[in-house]
Amino acid sequence: MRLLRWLASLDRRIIYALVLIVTIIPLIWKSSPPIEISPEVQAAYNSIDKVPGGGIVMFSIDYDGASEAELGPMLLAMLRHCFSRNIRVIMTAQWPLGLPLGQLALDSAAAEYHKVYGQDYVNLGYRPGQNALMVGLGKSGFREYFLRDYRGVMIDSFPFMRTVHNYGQIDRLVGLEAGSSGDLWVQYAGAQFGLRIILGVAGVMATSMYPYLDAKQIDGLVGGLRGAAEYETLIKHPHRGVWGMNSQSYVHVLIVILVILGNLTFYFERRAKKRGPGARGQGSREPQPRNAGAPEGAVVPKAQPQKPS
Amino acid sequence: MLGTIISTWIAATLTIAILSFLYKDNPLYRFAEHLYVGVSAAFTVVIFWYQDVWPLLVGNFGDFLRAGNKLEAWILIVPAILGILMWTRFVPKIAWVSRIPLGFIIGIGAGLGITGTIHGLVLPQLKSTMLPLVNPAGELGFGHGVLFVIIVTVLSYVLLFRRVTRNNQSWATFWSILTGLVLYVVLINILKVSWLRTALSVIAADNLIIVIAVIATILYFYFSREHKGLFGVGSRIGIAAIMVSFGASFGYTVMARVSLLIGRCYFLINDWVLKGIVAPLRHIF
Repeated sequence: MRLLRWLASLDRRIIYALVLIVTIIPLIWKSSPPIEISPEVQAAYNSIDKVPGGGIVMFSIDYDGASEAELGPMLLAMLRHCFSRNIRVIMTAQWPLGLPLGQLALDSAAAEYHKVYGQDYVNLGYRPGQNALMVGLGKSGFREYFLRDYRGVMIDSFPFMRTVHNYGQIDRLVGLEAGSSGDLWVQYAGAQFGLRIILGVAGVMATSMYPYLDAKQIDGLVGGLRGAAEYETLIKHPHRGVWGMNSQSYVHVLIVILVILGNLTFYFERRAKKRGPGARGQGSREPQPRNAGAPEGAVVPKAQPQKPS
Repeated sequence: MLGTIISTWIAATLTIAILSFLYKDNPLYRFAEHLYVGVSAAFTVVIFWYQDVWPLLVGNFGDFLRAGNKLEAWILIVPAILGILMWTRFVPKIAWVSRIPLGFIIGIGAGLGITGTIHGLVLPQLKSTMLPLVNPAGELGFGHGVLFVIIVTVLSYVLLFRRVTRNNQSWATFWSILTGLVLYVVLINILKVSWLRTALSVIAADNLIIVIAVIATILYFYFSREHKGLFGVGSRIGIAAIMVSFGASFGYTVMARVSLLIGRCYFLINDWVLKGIVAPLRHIF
């Protein structure tokens, strides 16, 4: 009982500290746990793998710093996959704060594979009005919306951009989503213009994207840090996603243990209350006297028969 | 190099300041919180100005005039005026004027949304829900197991355990599910009763579960009739399907939140401690 009482009154900060310790220790070792590839991530990988060398993949950065921990590793892994296959990349952002995050990842991946800005990749920047933009890029073309890149340079000054007019020249769109932009890409660019889409989404919204995968509206789905780890495994380049998986597993084990302990504590506490002499009447099925709980000498009114409603 | 180290130290300090809230509320946390909100808002304004307003409005106006496209240049006045009208919200007397650009935005959203939703959501999802329920060449999968356990659980609950446990719902449910699981393992996996396996495999179990769950969920959201009798059973199956979906979302949400913590811890260990502290110290000594 003493243990139960201690568990029931456990300071939440001890739990935070436990979670922190369990998260940090595996990150120091940076080990790679065995990762099983799910069909949806494999499908995403295969879809990009089928783009011929020199083809164009467009990335839409639709997240900000709050989701970077999940979507950043995903973006980096997909960019590495594209650059390793000499696929050219066009980047845009539907979230203003996604623009610098996308550019940082582009710079990092491009440096690894010796890719040149304007020749192998371009960042078009951010434009507001996402659904109008998505329809407009298919109908009116890129120049109606992105005459210049994010630095203000005319996009026609980049050789490979001269051949890009609308979605017809884009082989795949990779949407990295922390909000509703993924739905809009599927509903506007995918359904109306036949653009083939791969979605990489934050874990919170992964389940809501599976219907698109089942309906074959998207080629593949990469969900959360786990999806990023799978993609890193597929491109044989373990990084933040894979290294985070050990922490992820251990924290989950800790959470399960804490849930079990919490439920056991609750169960035994309730049982003790039922059995305890001081707790008579609290949850007990025995009939109680009418004046139970009332102060001594108090006048207790008679129970009134309830009127039928 | 020095710039990177300084920015890493600032980021690490702010990360720790935010995490310090887990211990208790404190001025350092408040400062970091307000700084985060302020910087995000300011950054968004800067992006809007330099990425959109300046090049698309001012830049294009000059470009079009220089190219002799006077009509295209002066038509930019229309979005500029609409944008300015939004600011009338700050003047209560003429705040109603801001409804004009808002109406414009909502009109575009609704117009695009109708076709987008029908073409991109309703029709493809309807099509993907119209699934074959029989699959003669099918093999046993996870869905068949779920279907078998559900069928045995429901039958054993109704025919046996409800009476045996004298209508104690908790125990009846527990024993029914256990029976379903045990019979599945024994009959399908250990004894491998061939007629049962064949009968099960003919059913497209995954499709059947999807169809039942979709119909039952729609029934749950039909409020024009009391949820009683057969309708009530359907609605209960619907709420079970919704709960399964919520459970999956919750699982992913826990994973997502842990991922955020992992991201920050990775930054603190890798970028701050190793690159921001250990590496410069090594360089010095």
